[in-house]
Amino acid sequence: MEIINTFVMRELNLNNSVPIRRVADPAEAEQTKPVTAPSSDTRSEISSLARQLSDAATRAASRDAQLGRKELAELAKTILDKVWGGSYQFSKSAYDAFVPDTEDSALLERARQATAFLNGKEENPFGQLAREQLSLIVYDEGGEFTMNERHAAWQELSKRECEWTVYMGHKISAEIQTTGSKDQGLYEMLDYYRSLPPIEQAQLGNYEADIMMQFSISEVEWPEFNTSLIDMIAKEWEPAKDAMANPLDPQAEGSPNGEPKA
Amino acid sequence: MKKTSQVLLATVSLLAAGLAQAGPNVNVTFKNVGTVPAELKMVTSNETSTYQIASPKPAQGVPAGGQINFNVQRVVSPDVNAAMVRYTIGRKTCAFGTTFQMRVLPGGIKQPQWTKTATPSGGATCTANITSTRADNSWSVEFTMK
Repeated sequence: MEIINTFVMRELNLNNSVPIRRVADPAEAEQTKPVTAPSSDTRSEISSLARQLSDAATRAASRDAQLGRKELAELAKTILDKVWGGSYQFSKSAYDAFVPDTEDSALLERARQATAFLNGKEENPFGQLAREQLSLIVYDEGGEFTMNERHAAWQELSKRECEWTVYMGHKISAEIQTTGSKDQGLYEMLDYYRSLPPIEQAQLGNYEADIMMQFSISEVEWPEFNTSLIDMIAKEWEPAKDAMANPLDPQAEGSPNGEPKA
Repeated sequence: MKKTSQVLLATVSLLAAGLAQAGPNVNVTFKNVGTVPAELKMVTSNETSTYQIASPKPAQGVPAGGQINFNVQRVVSPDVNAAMVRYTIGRKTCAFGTTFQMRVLPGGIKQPQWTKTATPSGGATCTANITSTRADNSWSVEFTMK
């Protein structure tokens, strides 16, 4: 939301600029280059997108306030199926042919560019947006954005997500090799996940608990070890031994084609 | 609680902590070399547990040409570890797996063994390659799908 506000405020300042008196630094003055005012088309484009993002942010805030984590996760699953899953692939030709019902040239141009991008012809119109803004577009159900625009936004969002996993995965692997622990990486993961919009966090399940269980110090808190001596002695160990006999068979729970046993 | 009992429980906890040693880490790379996004599916409990302890968590959707990376380190025994993950593209499915087990040969000789599997269905093409193994028995594996 803060990013959106900043974005909107920056746009507002273009039209309502306030003169500021400032003494020029001679060194800086030498490097000063003439500034070209944004064209009317650029301003129109920024205005349209800023307004759409602002509206989408309002809807997202309302949605997040009304739904719990489980409901958000279910909603996200439905939305993502439309935006990039089977439903999207099934209707792709219709989405490619779709033209928004508007006379706003900026909106028409962006919708066209999104479709062109998805067909390998142009750059992603959302390639420069902040992560939170991409998320707003992907999960917005207000009809502000075409499905191809949302798919293009998802492409950029998932590209950045994949790049982050590569960075984080290699960082944690290196930490384990050098220290034998991955605590620093886990803290960074936790910070990253907590920074995500609620609808994205919801898709990660109970990620806080999953991560907490992996910290080095938490190993003694695993339920199977958090028990009394009497319980440990009384515990039936044989079934566990049986389970350990071949614990790593990838097909242990499935048929040869990978399907689970009935 | 009596002091004796507290000491006893503390001792048991320390012993138990000793039992809870992690196996060697596996670093997994998944590449979608297809032309449409791949979707993560969790069917078996091994796949679910892999997702729960993966760091970071595998992405739900991997765009065409994209790749992800994650680590899995199970706290079962220092001598075992495994990671299982499944992605689909439409009706195509790839079920991937990789394991480590320290085998004990006759005479008590220990022999590390790494495995990898890629099980296709629905016309998918799946590959699994172990790209490196290290002295601490950690390893890297690369899965691809199209």
